[in-house]
Amino acid sequence: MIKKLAALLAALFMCSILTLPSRAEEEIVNTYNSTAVQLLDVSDSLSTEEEDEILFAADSFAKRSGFNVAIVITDDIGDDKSDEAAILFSENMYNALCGEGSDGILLFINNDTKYDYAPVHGQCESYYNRAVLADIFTAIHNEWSERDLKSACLLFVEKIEYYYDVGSQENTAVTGISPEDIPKGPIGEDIPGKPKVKILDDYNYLTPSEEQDIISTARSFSDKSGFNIIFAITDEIGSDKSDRGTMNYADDRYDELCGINTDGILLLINNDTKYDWISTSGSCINYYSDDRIDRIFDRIYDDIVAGDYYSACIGFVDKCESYYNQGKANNQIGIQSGDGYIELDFNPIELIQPLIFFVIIIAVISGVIYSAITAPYKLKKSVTTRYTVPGSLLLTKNITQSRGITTTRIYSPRSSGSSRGGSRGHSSTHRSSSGGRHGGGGRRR
Amino acid sequence: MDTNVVAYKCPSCGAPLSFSVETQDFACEYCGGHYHTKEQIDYMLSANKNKSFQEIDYIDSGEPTQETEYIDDSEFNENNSLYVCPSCGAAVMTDSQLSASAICHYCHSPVVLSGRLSGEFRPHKIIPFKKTKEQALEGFDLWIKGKKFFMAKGFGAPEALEKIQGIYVPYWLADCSVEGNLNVDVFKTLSTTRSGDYIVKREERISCVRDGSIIFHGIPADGSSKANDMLMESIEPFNYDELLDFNMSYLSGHNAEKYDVTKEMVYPRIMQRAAEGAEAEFLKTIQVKGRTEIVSKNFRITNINWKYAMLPLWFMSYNYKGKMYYYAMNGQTGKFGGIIPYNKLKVLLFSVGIPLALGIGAFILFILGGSL
Repeated sequence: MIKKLAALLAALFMCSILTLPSRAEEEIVNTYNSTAVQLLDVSDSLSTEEEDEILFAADSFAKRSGFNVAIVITDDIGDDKSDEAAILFSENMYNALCGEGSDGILLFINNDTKYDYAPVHGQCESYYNRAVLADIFTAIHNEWSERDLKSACLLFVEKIEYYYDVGSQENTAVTGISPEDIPKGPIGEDIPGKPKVKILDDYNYLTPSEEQDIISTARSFSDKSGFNIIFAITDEIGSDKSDRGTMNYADDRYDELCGINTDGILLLINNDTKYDWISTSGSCINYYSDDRIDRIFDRIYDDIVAGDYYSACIGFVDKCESYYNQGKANNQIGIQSGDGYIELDFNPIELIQPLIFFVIIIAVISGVIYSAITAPYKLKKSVTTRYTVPGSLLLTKNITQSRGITTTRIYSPRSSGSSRGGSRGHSSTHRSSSGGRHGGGGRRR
Repeated sequence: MDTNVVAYKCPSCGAPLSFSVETQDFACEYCGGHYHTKEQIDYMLSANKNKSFQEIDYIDSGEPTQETEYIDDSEFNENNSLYVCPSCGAAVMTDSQLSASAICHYCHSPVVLSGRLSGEFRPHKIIPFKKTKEQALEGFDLWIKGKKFFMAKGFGAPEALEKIQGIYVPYWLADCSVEGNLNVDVFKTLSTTRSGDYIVKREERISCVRDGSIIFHGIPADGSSKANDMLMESIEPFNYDELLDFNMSYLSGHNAEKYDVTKEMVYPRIMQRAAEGAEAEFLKTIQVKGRTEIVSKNFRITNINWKYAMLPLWFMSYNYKGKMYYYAMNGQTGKFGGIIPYNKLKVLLFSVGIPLALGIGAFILFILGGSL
C-alpha cells in the first residue's frame, strides 16, 4: 500500500516537473500542432485568433514542404539598435525556435528599429534568394501599410509557399539578405485626400535627392490632374520574362499601390528584360492613348538607354502633363462609374461609318425582302419569249472574243475605328490579374 | 351604221340559245337540246338562212318574221347603245357603243349585236370560254387564299364583289419576224484581293456580238382602250391551239366588245415586246458568266401578220374600303391578274424588322467584341 502510494506521488512529481517549462514557454511562444511552425509575438501585436489563423496557414505549408516557418514580432531588440544587432537577434531567434542547422525561414518584424529581416537556412536557401526575398518584403510591407499586420503575415506565408512551388531559384543561395538588399518599399508619402506619387526603386538607381525631386515634380502634376503617378525601376520582373509578363508586372504594381481602376499612370523601367512599359488606369486610359504613349517613350527613350533614369522620370512627368493639358485623346469618353471611369473601348464618332454601313445593308436587305413579299400582290409583266417560235432563232453573226484583262483599284480604306491593337488614336486595353482594366504600351531598348 | 341584233333560238322549242361553257356547245336550258355539230348549227341557223346578219330577227317561235325596231338617229348611231330586244321587245341598253353582245335585262335572252362585228370588225378567231362564272369565283378565292398572310384584312369577302362579267375582249395577235443585233460586254471576275487601302479587282472583258433574226407567233395586244394593258398582260398566255374560226354564235351568253384600238395603234407595244423578246433570246446565246453591259442593240420588225381574235376573260371588281380593285381571269386557263391590297404594316414589320433586329444584334456583337 505504501509502495503504491509512493510510486503515485513520484509520478505526479515527475509530471509536474516536465510540464513546467512548457507552461512557461506558452507565455511567449505560441506553437501549433507542429514544432516546424513558430510564432513569437512579444509585442502582442496580434490577437490570439489572428495568431491561430497565421499558424494554421503556415502549418499547412510546413507540412507540405518540410520547412520550419517562424515569425517573430518584437518591439525591443535590446540596447544595441544597429542593423547588425537586429540581424543577430533574428538569427538567434531562428536557432532557438527552429533549431540550428535546420531547413527553414523566419520573418522578423522589428517594431523597434524598423529594420526587418528574414534569416533563411538549409534547403530554403535555394528557394528564397535575394530577389525573392526582396519581392516578399515589398509585398508584405505594402500589405501591412494597406491593411494590417495579420494580413502581412498571411501574405508572407502565401509568398513563401508560392516561391516554394516555383522551385529552386537559379541564383546562388544566400543565407538571408544584406541590409542593402532589403527592399526599401515604395518611396513617397501618402497624403490623405490626394493621389499617390510613389517611386519603387529597390535597386537604388536614384539618389535620395533625385527621388525627392521626382516626387516633388510629379506631385505638382498629380494634384492638378488627380492622377496617381508611380515610377518603378527594377532589375527583376518575376518569373514571366515575356512582354506580357512585363505588362502584368507593371499593372500589378500599380494595382497594389493605388487600387483597382483608379486614375493613374505608372512608368516601369525594366532592366531585367529591357522592355519598358507604361501602364494606365482609370481615366488615364482616355488621356494616354497608344499613340501618346509612343510619344512619351520618344521623349524619354534616350534617357532610359543612357541610364539617366532621373531625367527619364522628369521627362515622363512633363510629357504626361502636356497631354493632360491637351485633353483626352481623340475625344475619347468614358462612363462615370462609382469612383472612376469605365472607359469606352471605342470612339463613338468612329461608329458613324460602320453604323452607316449597317443601315445601308439593312436597307438593301429590307428592300429585297419587301419586293419579294409584295411581288405576288402586284401585276406581273408577261414574258414575250413565250411567243418565240421554237428553232426560229437564226444568228448570222456570233462572235465571242476576249478583249483582255482589266485591273481596277478601288479606294477602300480600312476602318480606323478599331479598338484593337494597332489603332493609333485609341487606347488598347486589357485586364490585369487583379481584374482592373489597364491601358498602356511598351518599348524595347 | 346598220345594227343587227341577233338572238339565237332553239330550233326545237324556240327558247333562247346560248353557248355553253360547260359543254362547249350551244345548249337549250329549256328543252335540253344541244347543238354542237356544224350541221346542227347550220340547221339552227337555217331558220334564218334567208336572212343575213344584216337583218334583224325574231320572235318567240324562232321564225324569222320581222325586223326588230331600232332607234335610228344620228345620236343613236353615234353611241349605239339602245336596242329593242327581239325576244320580248324590251329596250336593251348596252353599256358601251363597243359592245357586240348583250343580255336583255328583262327576259335575259342573250343577244348578239352582229352588225358591230361586221366588216373590218369581224374577228378572225375566237377562243370560247372554258371557265364558268362559278369557276371564276372559286378561282378567285383560291388565288387570294395563298396570299392571305399579308393580304389586307377583310379583303375578298363575297359581299365586296361589285361586279363579275365574262367578256370576249378584242385582241390583236401579231406574228412577226424580228431582225437585229446585240453587242454585249461580259466582265468575268478573275480575282478580288486587298492591297492596303485598295481593293484590286481583275476582270476579263469578253465582247459578244450577235446578229440574226427570230420569229414570234401571236404576241397579243388587247384592242380595247378600256382594258388595262398591264392587267391584260398579267393573265397571259392563251393557248392558241384552241383558237377557232370566229362564229358569232360563240358570243351568245357573254358580253363581247369590238376593238377601238387599231392594229396601227398597238404596233408600238408589239414592237417593244418583240424587241424585248429578241434581246432576251439573243442574250441566252451568251454562255459566259459575269457582269453584263449592253454596248448596243437594235431590233426591228421586218414582217408582221395580224389576227384579230376574241379572247375570253372574266372581269371582277371588288370594293374594299371605298376603293375599287379590278381583276381579270383568263377565261381559258383560269389565270388571275390584278393588284391585291396588302397589310403595309405587316409587310414593313417583316421586311424591315427582321433584318433590323439581326443587324442590331450583329452591331452589338461588333461593339462588344471591340470592348472585350
